[in-house]
Amino acid sequence: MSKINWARAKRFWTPWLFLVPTLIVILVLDLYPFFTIWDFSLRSWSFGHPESMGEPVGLLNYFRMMHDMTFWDSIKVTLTIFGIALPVEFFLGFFVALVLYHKVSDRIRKILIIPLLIPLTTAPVVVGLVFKYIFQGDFGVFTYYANLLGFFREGSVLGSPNTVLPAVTIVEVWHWTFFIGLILLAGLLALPREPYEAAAMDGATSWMKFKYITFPFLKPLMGIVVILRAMDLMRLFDELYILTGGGPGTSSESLMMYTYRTNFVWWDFGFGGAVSLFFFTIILLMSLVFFDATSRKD
Amino acid sequence: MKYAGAGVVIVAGAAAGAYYATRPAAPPGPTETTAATTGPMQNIELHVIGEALPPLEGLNKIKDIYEGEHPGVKIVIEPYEFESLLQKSTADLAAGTGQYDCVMSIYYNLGKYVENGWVVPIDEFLADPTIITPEEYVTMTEGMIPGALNSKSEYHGKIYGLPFSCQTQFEWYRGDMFDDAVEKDNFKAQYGYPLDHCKTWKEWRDQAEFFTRNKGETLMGKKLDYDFFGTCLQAKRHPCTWYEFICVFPSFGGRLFDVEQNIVINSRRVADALDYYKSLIPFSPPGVLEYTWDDALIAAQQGLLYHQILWYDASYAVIDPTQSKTADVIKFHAPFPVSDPTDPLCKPSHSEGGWSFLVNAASKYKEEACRFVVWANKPDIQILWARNAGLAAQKAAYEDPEVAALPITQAAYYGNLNSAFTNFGIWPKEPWAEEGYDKGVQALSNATSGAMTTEQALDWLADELASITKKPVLEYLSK
Amino acid sequence: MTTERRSVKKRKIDLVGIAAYVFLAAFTFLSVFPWFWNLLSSFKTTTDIWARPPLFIFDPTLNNYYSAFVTRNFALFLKNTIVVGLAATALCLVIGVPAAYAFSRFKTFIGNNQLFFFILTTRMAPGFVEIIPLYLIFKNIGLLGSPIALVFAHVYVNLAFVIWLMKGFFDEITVDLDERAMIDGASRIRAFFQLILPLTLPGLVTTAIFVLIFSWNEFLFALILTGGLSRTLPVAIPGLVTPAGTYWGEVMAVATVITVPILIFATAVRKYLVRGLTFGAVK
Repeated sequence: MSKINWARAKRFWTPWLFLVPTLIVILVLDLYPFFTIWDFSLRSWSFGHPESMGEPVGLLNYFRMMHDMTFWDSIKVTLTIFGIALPVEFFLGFFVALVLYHKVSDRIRKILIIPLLIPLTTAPVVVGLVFKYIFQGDFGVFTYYANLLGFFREGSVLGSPNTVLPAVTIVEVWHWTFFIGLILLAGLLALPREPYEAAAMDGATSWMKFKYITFPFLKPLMGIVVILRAMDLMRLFDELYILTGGGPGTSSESLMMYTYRTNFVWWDFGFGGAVSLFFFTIILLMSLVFFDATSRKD
Repeated sequence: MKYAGAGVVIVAGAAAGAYYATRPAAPPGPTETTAATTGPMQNIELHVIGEALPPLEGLNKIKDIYEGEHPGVKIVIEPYEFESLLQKSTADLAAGTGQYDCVMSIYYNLGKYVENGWVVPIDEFLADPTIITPEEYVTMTEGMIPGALNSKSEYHGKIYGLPFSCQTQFEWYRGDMFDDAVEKDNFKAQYGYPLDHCKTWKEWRDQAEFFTRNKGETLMGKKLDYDFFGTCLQAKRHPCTWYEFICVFPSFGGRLFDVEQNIVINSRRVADALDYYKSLIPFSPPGVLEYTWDDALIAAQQGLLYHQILWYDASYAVIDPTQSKTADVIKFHAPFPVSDPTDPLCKPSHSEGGWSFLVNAASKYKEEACRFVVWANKPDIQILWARNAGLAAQKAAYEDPEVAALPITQAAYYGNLNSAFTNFGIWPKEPWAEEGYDKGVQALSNATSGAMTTEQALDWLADELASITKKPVLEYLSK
Repeated sequence: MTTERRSVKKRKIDLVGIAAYVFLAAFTFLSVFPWFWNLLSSFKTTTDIWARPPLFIFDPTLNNYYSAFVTRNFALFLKNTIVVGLAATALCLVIGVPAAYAFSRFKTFIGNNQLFFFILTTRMAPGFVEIIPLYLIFKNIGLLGSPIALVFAHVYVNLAFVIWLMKGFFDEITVDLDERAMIDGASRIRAFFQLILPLTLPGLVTTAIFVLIFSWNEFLFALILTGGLSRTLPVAIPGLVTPAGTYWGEVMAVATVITVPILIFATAVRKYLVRGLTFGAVK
């Protein structure tokens, strides 16, 4: 009798054992901030208006947000960068992973990984500064050669509203493509050999092997990597801030930068709280969609 | 149904939060700290936060004098870049953590710090004769550049901390071109009046236009192998652009508020100023819309342009031959021109970019911190500091022969700092000033990049300021 | 017939192969060039940095490195960054990998999917949302300004990432393997450590690299939670950007060096980025 109970208890509690540390961290450090922000967003909470600090104002902050043109512009900017960068990074990254896996020997692969990691290991602040130096309107290396070809003699890459978004997107893609590349490469490397050997014996072509073995195995990992990158793209800030400060005008102000301004330049945590929560909700819904689409249904 | 569980949690949490949020909350104040009494040989570490620049480095060099006079006290100076500085200092003050005892602050943040109860008023300094006696205070304040005390440290009638460094912008120009006989003759021939220091903004632009030359044309008798420009702007979307604009629009007679406290930032005068500002773009290097004061300095160092508006504290970098190609030929001049010298409303305007020195109300060593702030403002210390790249608030520093011999000081002090404080008050010090400033930057960037017309940009700014300050807008330009 | 088909296929593959190599070479070059340009410029004097046309040949100087690392204390900041990075990585893995395993294997326990998704929500919020509450928490504990606070903050930020990524890698290994090991008499925990974990070594190593990178480059929390001598590199670098001119030479020196430790780490662990052991070898 006691033996059965013991086994059942072990089966029930073992998963939780694996999870307990995580749960503690998350519950303590996650829920408290969220309730604080929710609280802020329902009040007037700004250092710029100390006389009304803490007064409940209902949904006023949310209405203000909805009517703010800059807020909507920043969503447009974020979605533009997102819409271009995510597919480009995914396809480029996947392609690099495939090439590194199939076409290159173990030794060369191990050598190449190091230079390919360089963009990733660069702090966003540094990325911003390095590319600022490269794109600088009068002395940058890029500008110099572009001038020779006849471009950017008036206006500069980062100073023209039309070229600033593509430039920033390029910087972002340069920085993060290998994130997807390396993870998918690791995923490819961890694939078991068995199914391939069996398929080869059955006479499958490379394409068939890819479609029926590689792709299904990698799908969960791909889904995860896309969700992670998607979330980070929506929250793009550091590079933009250094490169352009959101300008010219608001043409490169992302939603994250707008959230930053409201919270840490205007010190308006009521309004900023509303924006933050709204932001969070968008990302949540987006991730839900991705998650459902890519989780293994077995 | 799949996420029913999560849904219930969220809704319940939201409801609970909303209920709680409808209770009025007590605003945060600095936490009560027991002030440590400074006795002899007590180990005190004073933390000072300031902007990472030669003047702060200068302070770092002379602080051991203070440490020598006050054994047991160590001064730790932490330099930060401008925007990081604003964040860290405000965060520290707001949370009452007392990480920094002495905080350097820009003038327009004073109201925010005062009304939230974060900084120590001068009365507390004066209450303790070991910190400063009333006589010393009078000597000190009378020795300051006129207007500095009230402009930087006064808020609603009371003084907080002490002004410590004062700086403004002035004109940087190429002395070699200004003196070149051929260029002077050509200028007179083309514009009808001699080349001289500008009295009006039109003259400024004329000179910019005159000196903008393409590669291959001649300048000072030599053929250019790169494009040369007459001027440049600090037009990036960054506080630098509003600082620069403050040098322009008041001298067109523009103001933020009129006497009845209506918002007139979108008046015709300011619009003219903005149109003028934009009209300088064709005579500026192509990268001008991404220029901060930093890039403008580089352009000056590399000899890319004729004249521009730039800061006093950057001037040390341009007269340094190890970094600047134009070290010998750059000259400085003040005051700035106005749009119409016959109009009494148009006075030269100079944005002020120095730091005032405040004591954190949550500091654990308030007494000692106050003492240090006072020490840093003493005339003899300020003279010493000015010799080490300091930007003093004391007149005496500028009269010191060593300091006065620096090529930049004359322009900085006699011309500019005087006028900076006489024409001060352009940008308010109310708690919302920082937000207003940021929106001003956005409006300017919208206008210079062409995303909005001048009228639209200024109207937008007026509306934003109206909703921040709850004051009415007088009239609109574009509606 | 088969021989013909095979030779045709071979020619086609070669073309693709060449394209692949070209692509790889271009990609690698583009990845490295900005860093290389930076490295080159870090040896230039200020006037050379801004020279036109951009200089590839010039008189080099070591001043920038000396000035940054010795005079401005960047060696200390580098040490701080390393310590925080390694600690955060280790802690994250210790806490997160078992959790990922649980999510991957124990599909039937209460609320698996939802809990898994909920964990990811920690990464959805804009970082600023957590800044003030975290600041206050650490202030109350008295850890403000110490690197420990930053380690905790980084663990918190990266935990979801570790769990999610490692779950993906665990999912690649079929449950059969676990069950076979357990039938052979191993407990669940032993099966985990001795069998499954080694199989996911490429994934483990990749995850570790990324957590280190995130912690290394993280700016906002580091800015607010550290100060003075406990600063990390990303926080200290903007201090070189001043109105009296960015000390570009020194920025570049630091920017070059900042990437090196991670590259060293990656070099050290890359031997684990190998193909998974075959099932036969495991048996």
